[in-house]
Amino acid sequence: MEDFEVAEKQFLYENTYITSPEGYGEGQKFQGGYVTKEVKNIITERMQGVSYDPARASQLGKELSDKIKETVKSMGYPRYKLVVQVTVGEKAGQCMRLASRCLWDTASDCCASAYCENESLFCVAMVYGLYYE
Amino acid sequence: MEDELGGPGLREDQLVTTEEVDTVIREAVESTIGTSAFQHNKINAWTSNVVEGALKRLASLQKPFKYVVTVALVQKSGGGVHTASTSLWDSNTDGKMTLCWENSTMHCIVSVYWLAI
Repeated sequence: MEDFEVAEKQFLYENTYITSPEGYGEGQKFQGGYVTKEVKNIITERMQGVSYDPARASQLGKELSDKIKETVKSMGYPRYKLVVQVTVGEKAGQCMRLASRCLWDTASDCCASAYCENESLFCVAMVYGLYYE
Repeated sequence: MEDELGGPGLREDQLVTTEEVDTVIREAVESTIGTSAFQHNKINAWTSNVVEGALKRLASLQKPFKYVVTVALVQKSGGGVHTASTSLWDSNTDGKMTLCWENSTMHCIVSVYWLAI
């Protein structure tokens, strides 16, 4: 008696021929303005009354970047790959400059950034949305 | 197909490796800042040069990727700095690399993210 194994159904997706986010519908392009507002709210809220603690600061950075990623995901950009970077530092009178450049498609990709500070620390959050063709 | 990774048509030699990016970034940082001491009036030019030099060298690798390069130049003054990042990507083809370079007067933290088209 032979045992027949049921093969898994192989799905072959047809080409959609859609090359830009607008092809998927209105509002599918990464909206930098809305994302900036949301990110600013998140970091301002989280930073309320927090003072710099070297042991906890890295945890704070990770929490913030996870929260921002989840929020931006829920804003509904399914065709976008996201990169979120959060920098948290102690205010110690040092001079600091943060810069970024990207090699991307200017028609479909965008970035959003927000800055917040209080008496003892500062926080910079940057979100990049890159369209996945 | 055994030789196709991630999306259709991305062969192994077309992927970006951490070592490649590390070499590229180190070159960019060292050629701009090298052994200079921190100078407030040069910081703008330095950050732009590091970031643009890095991006130009990455683009010359001629691989089908989008790149995001961030650089933080911090003067050494005893204050702490932490950087955290999360991403939503395809782990077969995409990646990131962070380089922490320093000299006696400043820290330079460069992060590069590469995402397949």
